[in-house]
Amino acid sequence: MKFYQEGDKSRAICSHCEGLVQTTFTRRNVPFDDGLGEAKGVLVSVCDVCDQVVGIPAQSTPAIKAAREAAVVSIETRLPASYLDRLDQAMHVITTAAATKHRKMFLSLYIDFLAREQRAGEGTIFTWRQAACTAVDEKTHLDHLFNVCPHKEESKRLSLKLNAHIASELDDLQTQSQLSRTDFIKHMICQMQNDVVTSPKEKLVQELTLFARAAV
Amino acid sequence: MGFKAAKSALIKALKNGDFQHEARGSITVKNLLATGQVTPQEVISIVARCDGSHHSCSEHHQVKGVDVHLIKYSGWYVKFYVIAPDVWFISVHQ
Repeated sequence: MKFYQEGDKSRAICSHCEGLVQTTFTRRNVPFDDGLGEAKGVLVSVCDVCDQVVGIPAQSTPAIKAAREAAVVSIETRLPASYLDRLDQAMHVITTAAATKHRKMFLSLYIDFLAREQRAGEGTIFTWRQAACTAVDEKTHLDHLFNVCPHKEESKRLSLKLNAHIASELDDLQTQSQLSRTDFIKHMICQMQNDVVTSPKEKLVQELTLFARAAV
Repeated sequence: MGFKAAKSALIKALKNGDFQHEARGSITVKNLLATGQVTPQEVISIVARCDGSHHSCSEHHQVKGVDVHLIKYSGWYVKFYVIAPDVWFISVHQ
């Protein structure tokens, strides 16, 4: 295995210079292209002409993996399919171009919106648990509360990779609600459907629409 | 470089660790090999099962004489080229 060190020379294709260039290995902080964090001080090859990072050697992967895991929090849960239909419906109201791949973005924005509401004293998180417990059946209280299909329904996986800031907000909101992670996400999706579709909150809809224009 | 030579160079590079990942100022999260979500051994096991029908090749759009190889197999997408002494991955994703 060729083990590169700082100062070593190599060749690479530079997309900025549009050709084959000489490169030098050096250590840089390199961001992830989805904006979620960066790998600090990893060995990369840099174009000798434009100074752009053009290559990452195999030996840098363990450091990149560790940085990625620190920057991204994975949320995995299984929900009755109708909850995801509700989420998709709310997204579709904002933009008809929304697809399942945009769920993370919309939920992240909504989590941030809820957190700001809560900090401003306008939130309703504290009442979620109460609402859930006054529903008919403790075990399936949310499904009753939101009139989810009473028959056995197919469940689907919701997988979200959130940045550390949004993940922290989600944790805080969930703690305040006193609901389990899955029940909190169910409740949040139904609340989002309410805030976007049933009784639209103008400020929220404006924010989501602006982001959707740029990102969807 | 045809499929057999490309496959051979790819497997050898993965075994020896003689490969790099193309970057454009950032780390491509879609490249699962670069982010460590798949291992070189896993990529070898995918590529080893491929034949010529899973392979296509085109010239690099910016550098004449560099062949960009694409292997599509069972939902996997492995795109790479060779600039000696390394194999360069553009993407390894599912």
